[in-house]
Amino acid sequence: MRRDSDRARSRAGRVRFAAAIVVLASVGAAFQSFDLARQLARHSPDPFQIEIALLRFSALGARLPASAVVGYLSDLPPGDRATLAFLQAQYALAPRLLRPLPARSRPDWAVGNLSRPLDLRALGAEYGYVAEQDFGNGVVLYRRAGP
Amino acid sequence: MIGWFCLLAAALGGCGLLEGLGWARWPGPTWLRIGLRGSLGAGLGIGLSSGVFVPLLWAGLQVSWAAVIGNLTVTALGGLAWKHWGRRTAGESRALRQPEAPQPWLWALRAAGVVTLALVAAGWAAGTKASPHGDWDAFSIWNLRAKFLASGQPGWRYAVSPEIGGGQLGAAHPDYPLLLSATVASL
Repeated sequence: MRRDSDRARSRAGRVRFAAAIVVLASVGAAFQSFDLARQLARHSPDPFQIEIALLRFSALGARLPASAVVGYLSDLPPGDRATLAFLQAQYALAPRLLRPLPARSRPDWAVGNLSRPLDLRALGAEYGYVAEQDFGNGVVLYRRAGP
Repeated sequence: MIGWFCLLAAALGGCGLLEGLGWARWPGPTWLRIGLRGSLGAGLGIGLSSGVFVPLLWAGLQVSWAAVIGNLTVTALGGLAWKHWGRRTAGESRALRQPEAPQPWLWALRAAGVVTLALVAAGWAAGTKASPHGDWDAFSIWNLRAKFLASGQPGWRYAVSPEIGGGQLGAAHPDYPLLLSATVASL
């Protein structure tokens, strides 16, 4: 009888110990997560510059039909920077679908997303497009030249 | 605002389904049962309504109709389940309930749960305020596909097009399930 009560007391002690570990671990991890979120929010808000991309492409987006397939031109060589630039433009211009050029079929319109000043006409001509409007900030609207 | 009401209706429908099918009949105090049913039921209802939303878009409905019909279908199913099966299974659940032994140390776990939840909510709020479009996966996959779905006909199909992400499957993952994006889109 006494052994049973000792066993029950020992089990209750173990449960209390495990509960204390759960309390400390959950509150500690949640506090660490909160602190990290607060630091990130303070030091690097909008780390992928999506707000800036929305502003850069807003005027151009107004010129394009919703749900259109639009060509995409960039001066960036393939790599992480080029992928980010493409995804920023794609998010800003959705629900239009961007199709990187050259492609099998050339859409009527194309978007230039440029990282530095360069010859806009020459870039368009390389893919069979003519510059329709330069919106500044590296954003250019191109129109397909010919059929 | 209508989107939020529809989502709330779908969440309530999910609670009705859980209750009606007898999947959420645990012993315990009322606040615990309501909390568990509410959280599981809301997830079930919103998930089911997203599952209905995309086939309705596929069938040719406008995006607003697809969202409303998807949410209200789940609400109606939940209401029917609650009405028809809820009473039948109520007796079984009563029989399962056992008297509980008092656990005085439980207050510490409850307090830790509340503090953890508050810290997680505060961290989420700080992150969302700083980056309203989310991190990499959010803007390149989930919210991007939600934008396509929310555009209705015919642009919603781009959400499952191999062309999104510039044809790089790893960039926007058209192969990922649509549940999360469809929930965002229906709002």
